[in-house]
Amino acid sequence: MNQPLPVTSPLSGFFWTWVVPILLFSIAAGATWLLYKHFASQ
Amino acid sequence: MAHFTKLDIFWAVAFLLLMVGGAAFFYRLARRSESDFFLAGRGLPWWLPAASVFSTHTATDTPIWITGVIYANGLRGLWYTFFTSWTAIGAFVSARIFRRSLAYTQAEWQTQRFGGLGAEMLRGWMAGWQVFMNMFILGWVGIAMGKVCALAFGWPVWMGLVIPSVITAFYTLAAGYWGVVMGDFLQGIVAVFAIVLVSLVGIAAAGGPTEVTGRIIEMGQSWRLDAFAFTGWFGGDFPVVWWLTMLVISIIGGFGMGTSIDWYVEAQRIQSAKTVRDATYGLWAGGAVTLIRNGFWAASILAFFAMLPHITDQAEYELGWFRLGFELLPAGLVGVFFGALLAIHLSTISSHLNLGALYFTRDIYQRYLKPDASEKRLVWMGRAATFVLLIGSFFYGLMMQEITKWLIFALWLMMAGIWLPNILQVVWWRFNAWGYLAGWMANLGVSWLVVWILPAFGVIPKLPDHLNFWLLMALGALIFIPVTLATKPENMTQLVRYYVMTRPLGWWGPVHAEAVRRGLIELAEPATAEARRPLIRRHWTPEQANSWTREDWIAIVLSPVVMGLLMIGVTKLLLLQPGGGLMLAGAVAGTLTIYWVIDPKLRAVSAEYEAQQEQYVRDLERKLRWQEEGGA
Repeated sequence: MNQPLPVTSPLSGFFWTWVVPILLFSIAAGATWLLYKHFASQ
Repeated sequence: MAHFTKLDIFWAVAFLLLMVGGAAFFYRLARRSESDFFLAGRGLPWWLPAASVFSTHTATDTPIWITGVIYANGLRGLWYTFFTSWTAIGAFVSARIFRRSLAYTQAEWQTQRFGGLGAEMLRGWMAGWQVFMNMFILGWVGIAMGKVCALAFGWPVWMGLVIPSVITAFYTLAAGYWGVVMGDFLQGIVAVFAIVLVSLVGIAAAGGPTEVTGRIIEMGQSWRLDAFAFTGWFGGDFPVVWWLTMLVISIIGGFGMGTSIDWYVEAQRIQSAKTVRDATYGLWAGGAVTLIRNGFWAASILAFFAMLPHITDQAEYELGWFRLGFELLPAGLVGVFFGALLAIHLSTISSHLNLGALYFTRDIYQRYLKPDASEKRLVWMGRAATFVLLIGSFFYGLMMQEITKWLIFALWLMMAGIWLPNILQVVWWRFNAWGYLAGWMANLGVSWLVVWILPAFGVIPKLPDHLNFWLLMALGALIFIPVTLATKPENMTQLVRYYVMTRPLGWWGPVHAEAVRRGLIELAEPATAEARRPLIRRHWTPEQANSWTREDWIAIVLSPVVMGLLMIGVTKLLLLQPGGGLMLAGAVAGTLTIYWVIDPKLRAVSAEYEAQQEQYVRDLERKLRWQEEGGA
């Protein structure tokens, strides 16, 4: 059995659990949509 | 191993749907033509191929083996990852030449550089080899994913091999290279976020950079913090000769094509760029970001080592970086992290599915089976080939345990023995198809002898790989150089056409003189005018820009230095070691200098070349369909 890491997570709370994933998802989805519009019109 | 909450499962599924849906969305653009399905219509600005170069250099097994070498060797393990630096010179030399050739694949490039029966034999051999290789790589990374899923979810290995690959095949079949490159961009955003975050969290959790380095010094293992901790010239784990051999293979390899196993997949990215300038910057930036990524990984793996220094089982410590992510991220982000791992996997699978299908469709089906196929039929053949590659990869994956040793040997062979022919074909006009074929055949025979048979009979000692490289190169050259000189050069008309189109670097004097005599290129400036030119030229005529000048050599010399400074500088800065900031500042200054020196020239080359590209494309298509006098 793997020995667990002897420390706990330095990140916690609403910001890391909710805000960061939503922000990342929005950036990735928005960038893809803009790229599609750009290349389709080109 | 991993604790998934419902929120994690939600985010992992959401990112998976975004990546597959986002890439499949480009289906409408891919169905137009063969050029769209395999090269995104050669219309991509440099940062898209750059994202794709980064994504193709990041596979499921990459964090596993890099963790392994850093945990075992400390920071000097970074040099095992420095083979990526073939992009340093490659961006300014081979990328420019390959982009100008307009070849879809390396096999097609060889039929422009070489001619006649030898070139067709080479093309068939290269295409068959690449279809096989891509199938093998798909099986290889598929099994790595099978192991990750077994650890994360307790799935049987075959499920992790088959399910993600089938999901990837969905958008690769539909959207071709458009889907691959857009998927790579999207996946690049998620993967870079996860790599940076997990690495910083790992270092912070271990108590911060000074705590990490302090603990390692306390253990009496300060050598782990020195990337240059050599063990002598020839002996020990990390001899100087190994390091120099690695630098030669990767950095000098940038003058050739195929000197790195990654060349074949990156050649497709180079050709999909909008201009020669975009191809150069795309390959360079992709390589640089990959090396910066290695720095983040290395610093965080040392943090993992500082926390758990006594793991002796390689299979256990190789998963160190994954464990930082799964054990230290809060709920929600664990799902994003798994989404990023899926992203890394999907981009690798889609790249090799599309590349294998390209070699089959362009170099076998269209060239030899149905030269007059319509664009629509070629796109459908690309899809059929993608499906066959997918099924073939499952068979390879499932028998991987038995064949791995032999295939690693075959892979290594492909690199070592034909490293020099792969450079000579680019830089020496006299090197011909028979020389290249002799290089391949000599390579197959000589490697078996040197690596397996002669040591088994005690004729020669068993040498380490880095010395075998030099021995194989020398023995191969004793065969392919005489064969080249004993056979005729390639047809001069073919060479002149190739030369005018690609303007290669190196020893091309007789071909250049013939091209001038035929009035196809202008005579070079007289020496007196050359002496009056500014130290760094800022304004270029097309003919000046097509020649190789001191501006190119400044970029060629500075580029590998910048890449080394980037990788080591980032690592040192993350660990707050002295010199890290200075090295990084040097890398930034070097990058800006290269840009200032070479950008005006690349703009001139691109503008001049674009004006002629359309005619070249038409000529190439006629040649591919055997509609030219005299066939090939």
